[in-house]
Amino acid sequence: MQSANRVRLAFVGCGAITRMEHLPAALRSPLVEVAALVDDRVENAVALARMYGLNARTARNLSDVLDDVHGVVLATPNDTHYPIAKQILERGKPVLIEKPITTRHDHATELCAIAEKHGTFISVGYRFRFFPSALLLKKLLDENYFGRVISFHCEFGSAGGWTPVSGYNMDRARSGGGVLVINGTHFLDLALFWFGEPVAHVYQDDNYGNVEANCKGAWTYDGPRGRFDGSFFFSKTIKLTNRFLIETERGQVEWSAADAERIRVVDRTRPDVKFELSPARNPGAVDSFRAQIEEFCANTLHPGRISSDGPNGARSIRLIENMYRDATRLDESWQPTRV
Amino acid sequence: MNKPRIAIVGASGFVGAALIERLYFDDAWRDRFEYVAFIRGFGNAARIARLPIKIESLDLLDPLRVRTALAGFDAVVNCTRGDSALMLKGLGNLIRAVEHNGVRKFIHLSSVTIYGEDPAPESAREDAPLSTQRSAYGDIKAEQDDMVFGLHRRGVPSIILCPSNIGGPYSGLIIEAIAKLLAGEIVLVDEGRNPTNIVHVDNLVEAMLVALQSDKGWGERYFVNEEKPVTWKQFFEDLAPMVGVEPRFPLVTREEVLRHMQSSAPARMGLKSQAGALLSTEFREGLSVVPAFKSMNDSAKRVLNSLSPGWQARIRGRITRPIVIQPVRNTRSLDHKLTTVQVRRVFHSPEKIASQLGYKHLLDRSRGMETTRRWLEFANLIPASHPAVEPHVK
Repeated sequence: MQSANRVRLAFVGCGAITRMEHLPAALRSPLVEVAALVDDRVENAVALARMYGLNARTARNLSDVLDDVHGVVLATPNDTHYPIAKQILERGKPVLIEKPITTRHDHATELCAIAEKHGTFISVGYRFRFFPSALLLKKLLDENYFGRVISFHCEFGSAGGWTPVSGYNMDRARSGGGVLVINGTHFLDLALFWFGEPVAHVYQDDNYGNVEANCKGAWTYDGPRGRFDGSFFFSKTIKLTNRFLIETERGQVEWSAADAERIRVVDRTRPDVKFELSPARNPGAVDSFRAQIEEFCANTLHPGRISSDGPNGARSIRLIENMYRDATRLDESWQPTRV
Repeated sequence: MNKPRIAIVGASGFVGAALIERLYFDDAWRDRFEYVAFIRGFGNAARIARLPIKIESLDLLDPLRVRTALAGFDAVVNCTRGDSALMLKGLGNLIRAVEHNGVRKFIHLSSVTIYGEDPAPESAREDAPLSTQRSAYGDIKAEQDDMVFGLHRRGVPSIILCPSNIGGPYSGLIIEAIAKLLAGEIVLVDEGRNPTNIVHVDNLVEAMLVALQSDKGWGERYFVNEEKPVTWKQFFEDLAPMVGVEPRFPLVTREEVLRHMQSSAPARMGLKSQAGALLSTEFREGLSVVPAFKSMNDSAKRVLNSLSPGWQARIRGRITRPIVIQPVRNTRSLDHKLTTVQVRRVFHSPEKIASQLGYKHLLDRSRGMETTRRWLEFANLIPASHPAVEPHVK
């Protein structure tokens, strides 16, 4: 179905994230027309179209369909983001890039410059930014509702998990890194959103020549919120609590990736009670992938605010690059040869 | 001289990954073999993907691919776990590929569950008859053992290693024990006197390496266990201080647990109930997001609706089941594995592997617990006994 109000999108990369998240989100939205599915293994695109009963064009090459769409959702292996996004932006079309924006900071800044030159934009797929709980926490921190931030700890981990069709996550050259880039980047983005850029970092991981499975470290902040430290632990081998615990003057604030609507607070004066805070106006069912794609569509029609734009994605990849540069090894003192 | 080429199948699992790490981190073993880690999917491979080793995807249910993948290997170590299709059909494909490619050694991991969930006293030794009262998993493992012994009889030297519970870093049993300790849900069966039969994963890996190097003992099954029995009481008393709880646990008798296990044993699902489950509203609604199924479902609904009301009622009556709501017990749960596993009274002795293959544990009990404690700290499952990394301003 075509409609003047619908934004015609091409989905480039027909792997797991497109199949399970981006495409269903687009189909749930009245703003999107799924115009094309593109994959260098075109049979993946054909199978995906068949799976959802779509009449969309299928193609091996983006150039075959690019003129026929308003924008592109790019969800290919990380190392291909830069060349494909460049091709899209140079044609003046906007692109929603599944995180991370690129595997290199210089590539990310180049893409931002190309977008600006051609009067278009980049959106980066950090979907937690669309959680009402994340937006509420940002608002309350900005309003100093909790008082001074003293420290925080965040952790995000699962034993195994996401299985990309191409297996690119096993190859550092293609993924740009391990758990920090694949999973940790979501929490790193939230930390940038809530606390700004750290002035210092410590980073350790368990990479012995390929992609790290675990990383730990800490950031120091010295900005408008004062000076404080935050620590992190990201894992692809251990199930973690997937939350931020923020110590503030007022008490401990908990944000959980499992709860899109509420944050929890234990007030210092009432440590026996846990309060829940949520936006007063009920946001309705939280559908972060749909919200993300609808924000992208809205900006395609009428330029406005983008939750995570190109420069934000570039900041994130710069911090990741810096941490990798300064990486030291995690001490695996439980290995039998080290006891 | 060329190094022996070893195919490690199921390399991203708990035991497979521990074997890979040992081969990589232990200087004594690092250059002994040329090995390839075969994995089913990329999702769970992070623990080994951090190492610069050769990893290949292998679907054991694809016989041609398995045959091609195993060309040129001297030995295969099978650490695969999965559903019954993978464990039986997959092992069949693996065995045929081993024979086709002239592989010279096959190491297979079995389980003491083949001796039953309440094993007879004689199953302290490997030559005891297998139980006929086994779990579904025990049935599969016993069938696997038959297949591997068949391979051995056809001329491919094979060893079956038979651990019970596996502990150490990344052990699901240890993770569960910590969670249950924190939740106050641990009970001791018969005052915790029975043996845990928990072998440290690095000792199991040691046994696998001993088997790989061995020039004898082929065609045999070997228990792999700690040298001396450790009771459940000792085990929980070791873990309790790590999580900061008092090692005082409610007591239940073995008979209570056995009675409970018998009364709550799930009935095997018959064909009719399977059809009922498949045709249940929830199942169909779940599948209806898939367009192809939605169309099938709609057709079936049309056919059903076209029948007379009497026939519709009869068909619905045949496929629907009453909803059964189980009462919520206020007494402590006897269900979880850490309770039911305590009914086993037999210590599956590792004497045979020690005497015949010269196996010696790599880690004694205290060193084994120490590696476990260190990993639990790393995994944030217990409080750290040392300060976390601190950032510094540059």
